[in-house]
Amino acid sequence: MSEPKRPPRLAEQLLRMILLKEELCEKLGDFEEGFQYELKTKRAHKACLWYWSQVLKAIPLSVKNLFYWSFSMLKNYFKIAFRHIKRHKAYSILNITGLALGMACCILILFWVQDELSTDKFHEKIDSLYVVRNIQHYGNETKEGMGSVPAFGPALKAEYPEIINTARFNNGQGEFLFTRGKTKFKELIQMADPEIFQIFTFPLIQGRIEDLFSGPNVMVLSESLADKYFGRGNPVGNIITVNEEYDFKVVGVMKDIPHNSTIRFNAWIPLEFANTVFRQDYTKTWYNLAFRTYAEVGPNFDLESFNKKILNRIRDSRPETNSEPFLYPFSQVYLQVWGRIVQIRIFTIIAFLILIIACINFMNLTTARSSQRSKEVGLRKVVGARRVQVTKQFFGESILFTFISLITALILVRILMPFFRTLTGKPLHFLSLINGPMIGGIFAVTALTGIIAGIYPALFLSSFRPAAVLKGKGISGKKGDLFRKILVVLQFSLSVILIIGTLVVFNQVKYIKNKDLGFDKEHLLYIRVEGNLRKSYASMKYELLQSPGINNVSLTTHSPTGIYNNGQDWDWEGREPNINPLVTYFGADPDFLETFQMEIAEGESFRKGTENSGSNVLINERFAEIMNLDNIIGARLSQEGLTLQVIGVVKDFHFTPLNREIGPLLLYHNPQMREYNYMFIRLKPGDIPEALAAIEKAAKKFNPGFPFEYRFLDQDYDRLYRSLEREMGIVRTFTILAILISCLGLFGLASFTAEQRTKEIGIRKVLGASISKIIFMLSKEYAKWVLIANVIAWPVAYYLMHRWLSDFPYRITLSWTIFFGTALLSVLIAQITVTFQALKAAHSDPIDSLRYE
Amino acid sequence: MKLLSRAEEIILLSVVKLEENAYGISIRELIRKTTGVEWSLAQIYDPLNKLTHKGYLIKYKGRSTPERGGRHKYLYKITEEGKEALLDIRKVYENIWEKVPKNALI
Repeated sequence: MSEPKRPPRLAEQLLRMILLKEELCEKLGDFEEGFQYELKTKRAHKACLWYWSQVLKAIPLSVKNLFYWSFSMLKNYFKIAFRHIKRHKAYSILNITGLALGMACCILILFWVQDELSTDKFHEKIDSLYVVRNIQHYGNETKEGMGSVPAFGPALKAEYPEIINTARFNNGQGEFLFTRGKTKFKELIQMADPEIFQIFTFPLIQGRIEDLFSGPNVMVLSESLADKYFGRGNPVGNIITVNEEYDFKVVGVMKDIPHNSTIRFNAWIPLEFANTVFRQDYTKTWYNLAFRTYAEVGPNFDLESFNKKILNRIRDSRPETNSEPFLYPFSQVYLQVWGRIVQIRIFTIIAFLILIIACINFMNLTTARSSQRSKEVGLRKVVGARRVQVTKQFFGESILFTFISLITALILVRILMPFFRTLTGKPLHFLSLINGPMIGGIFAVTALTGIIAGIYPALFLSSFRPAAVLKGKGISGKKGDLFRKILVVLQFSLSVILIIGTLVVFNQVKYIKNKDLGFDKEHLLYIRVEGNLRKSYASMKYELLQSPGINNVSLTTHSPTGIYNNGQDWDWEGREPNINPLVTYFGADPDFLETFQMEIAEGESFRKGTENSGSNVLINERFAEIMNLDNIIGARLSQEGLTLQVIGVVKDFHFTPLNREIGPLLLYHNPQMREYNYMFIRLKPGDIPEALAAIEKAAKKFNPGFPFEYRFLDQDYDRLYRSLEREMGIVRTFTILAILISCLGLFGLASFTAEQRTKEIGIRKVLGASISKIIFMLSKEYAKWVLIANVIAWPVAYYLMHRWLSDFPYRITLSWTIFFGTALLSVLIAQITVTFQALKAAHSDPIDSLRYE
Repeated sequence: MKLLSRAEEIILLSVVKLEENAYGISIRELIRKTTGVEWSLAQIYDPLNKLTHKGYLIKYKGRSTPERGGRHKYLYKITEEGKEALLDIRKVYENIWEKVPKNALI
């Protein structure tokens, strides 16, 4: 016979892989003997087959064993980790607190983001809902808006089969007096098509949907409003009187609209009603962009081709129009049109920055204490642990830490929830926020934290050479030291960016709020002109002016924070053909300028008394600039047969929020058009309660049917910036937390360094170093690194904040004081943190630290 | 008292019967003869390892043979604890089978 037959190579290799080292010899031998035995009785390929089958059958058992052994190692790892936590309590608490704070911030911000993203998603048909937007051309300028003309919606539904249903809202809600027996309150009413209850998810809890279509004088109340007027009684079928003039029959009660809805109202009346009050054809015209139209589309709807279709249709039938309507997905309105996606991104980035800062803390503290674990690592390696196993161990430890932190973080979140509610102004509740995706998100964050925080310590600690470590040489800390410093610099850079961001946002908001509006908004209050006052406002004004606490009174069509009347196609002599501005209209009586304390830049104001001609108008500086005439006074403005004469130019004042530029404005005064809605009253600073009492007395006298309500204009302006301020509050809070976390890390690191240098400090003290010198020695290094962090952070922060500010037409300049201030602040914070440890080290008795040498 | 599993019992008894020549292949062969079932090698090693781990068996190095590719044999021998465990399980069997009525199983 030739050479003795060998078992198949590949199978043998496989066997070697699944067997443990120490049993290799025995098992391989047995397998081969079995193989030879088979060879004697069977043919060669059968024996090979036998060998293969034996090897394959061994795999499941070896896998089972592997798990068994790794599990017992895992138990050991956890035991060691827990012992370690117990033994180094201060360090563990520091580490876990830092991580938990970071994770809590992250979870809170994720809650906020989830709530933002959920906006409008509660509508069951959300994916087939579209809103009509339009592009308007004003000469060279284009503007995008959500307005649409009244006739557009019905036409859409009638002409295109792919549109299942449409519903229109009247833009803006009016405040009206509701009367039900003795209960009288002002409420906001939304006029809209009854179809809104079909296409949106505003469920009726009482009443039938058919009844909503039964005429113009029906009404739906929200649950809370129904409760206010009817208590426990059934509101359906009852009458509510609006403005003491119109009776509405309540036909339904709807569930309160959830807070995360862009469409909000408490009381609904049909749009048809407008026809009986305003004009017969109010809801049927092809002009007046006062409506918002929503459409529900059928399946397989192709947005792009549909938009092309309507654009062509519009161009064919009305070539002269400057408005191009198009459909836009409703689900995107909040994020894209309202621009919330920007805030959501910024907040998500902040959340992850904080998490990174917390992770860096963990890495620093863990590697800084590596010398204490070096003996353990050495021993494990001597006993036979492979590097992978040690890596696994430390990974496991960091994941254990993260999960302990997660539990702490969740408790923290639970505790902080009420504060977070006030901070965000959102009715967020812990339990309702915990859902499938959120739990997934939290676990993803936890796992990510565990991995990011654990990867470096695991690789670093597992790299120790057992011989060196066990001999007591310690580890060559150089490399680890440098890396730690880089991490501290990175961490502080992130903190510095956050600080600069907060300061810039804070200054910008302060700037906007305190910016000169072009008139004096303090001590200026207003009441609505309604009910009897519509006829008797002149007498009331006269009576008010007699009161000593009141300086001036003026009647206007709008409040400066809410002018929504505008128009275009104005012509003047010498107008460039491509200039066609959208002009805002503001009507006021001649006392307007004194009441608001505005100034005339050129020309004159309206004359008091009756000799005013209705065609005399004032324009603002911006409009004058657009008209660009040498002689603006006396210029004529015309539009569709109407001719107006400019008699003066008012200095620009802000009538829109300061994140928009001042546009052209036309101030008119027309004694024939009695459409004043507001009475503005300038109080003398001093005895305001007395003036208020006088106003109330007059209001009760001239308008007894309505409750007396007033508002200060500066409060309205404050309200404009509420959401901005709220976001600033959130950013500020999380910045402080980020700094706190960074400081925790620095604190731990400083204590570690001080501990390591105990002997050096002892020797220095023996040789005569003073305490202050030692403190300086210990803390100067950190100051250096924090300063470097500042220098790195500045350009990044400058770039980011520059971009953020560029959205504001009126903005602060990024001054160096902010940057230097931040540098000073961060060094100071770092020093305070470090000095505490340095003091402790410097005061220690050199005898204690040197005794054992 | 922790009882042996059936597989452990069979293996342990095989080791006892094989006396000085108890190792993977011989145990497998014996089991084939006594029970008529073909066990895979891994199925033999798993209880063998467990029994060794529990201290019922001890493993020692034997001679090497050419058909093993020149590798050493590892032989198994029962310990006092192993014997005790076998006696325990036998007692349990006797208790179980005791007083089973005659003819009940025919």
